[in-house]
Amino acid sequence: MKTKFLLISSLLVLFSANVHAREIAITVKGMVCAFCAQGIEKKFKALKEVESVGVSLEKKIVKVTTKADQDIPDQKINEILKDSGYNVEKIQRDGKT
Amino acid sequence: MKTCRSWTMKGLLILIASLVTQAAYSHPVPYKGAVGVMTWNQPFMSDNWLTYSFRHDMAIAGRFMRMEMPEGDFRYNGLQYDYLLFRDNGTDHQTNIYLYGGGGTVHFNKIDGGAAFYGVEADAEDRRFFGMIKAEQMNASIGPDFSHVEARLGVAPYEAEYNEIASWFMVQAQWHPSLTRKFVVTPLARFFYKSALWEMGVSTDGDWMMNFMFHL
Repeated sequence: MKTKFLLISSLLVLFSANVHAREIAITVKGMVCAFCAQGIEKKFKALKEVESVGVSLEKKIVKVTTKADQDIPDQKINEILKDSGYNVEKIQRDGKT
Repeated sequence: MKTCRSWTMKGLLILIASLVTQAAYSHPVPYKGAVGVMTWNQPFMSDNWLTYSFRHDMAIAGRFMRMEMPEGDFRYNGLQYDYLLFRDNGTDHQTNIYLYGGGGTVHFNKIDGGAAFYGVEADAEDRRFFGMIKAEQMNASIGPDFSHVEARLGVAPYEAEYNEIASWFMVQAQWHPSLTRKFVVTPLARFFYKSALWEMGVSTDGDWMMNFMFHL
């Protein structure tokens, strides 16, 4: 009984780990104007992997939440920020650099 | 030969001048894929653009101008090319230098002709302070040439967050010797929210100003 419980628990943990949404925090240089930063939000929202986008001018951070089991490569993030006219300072996934 | 060179110069000047005007009020190249509508209006001048940024540092625009000169109304319709020459994205600020140029048709005292313009603009801003200066020159085959120098200084009473209405108080100085109003100083208020930006002001001589910009 104990073995079955441990097995089921382990499977549940593994399953939930695989389907969790990823939170990507991008520190952006030069993002001082909301009017000019609209392009960042628009471009991330256009990606099929993205669930939601939040922008903080105070913290200079764009927070992108992906759909379950999805990710966005650093190269794509850099490309989007470049096309929006900004530079990436740092990318963190789920609180990790 | 001299006429040909003069025309080439005029075309170049007009191209650059149109580019400069756009840059003075807001970034002329916002982001790749952006479509923008802009209209700047004063009693002696109105300037309107429909722009498309095809790269993060380049945009093309249709520009439609009306200027009130002592000899009569001067109208320009044509194209404008904007180029972001330099950008410094700092931790808390952004600095830009743009070049502009364009050419098109002009209408002056019931006569049609051609014109070209060129210009340059530089701006620097953080979330509290804004400064901009630009200069443009338009030369036309008919009517007087158009020179324009403009500067702005602005301060934000609060640091607006991304989803809040941002407010700015600014002072704009314009110098354009070929227009009916040669030197104009206009205190104005700028607001923007999401993709819309609007400005309202009244000059020290009582000239109103209404500007509007929208990114699709």
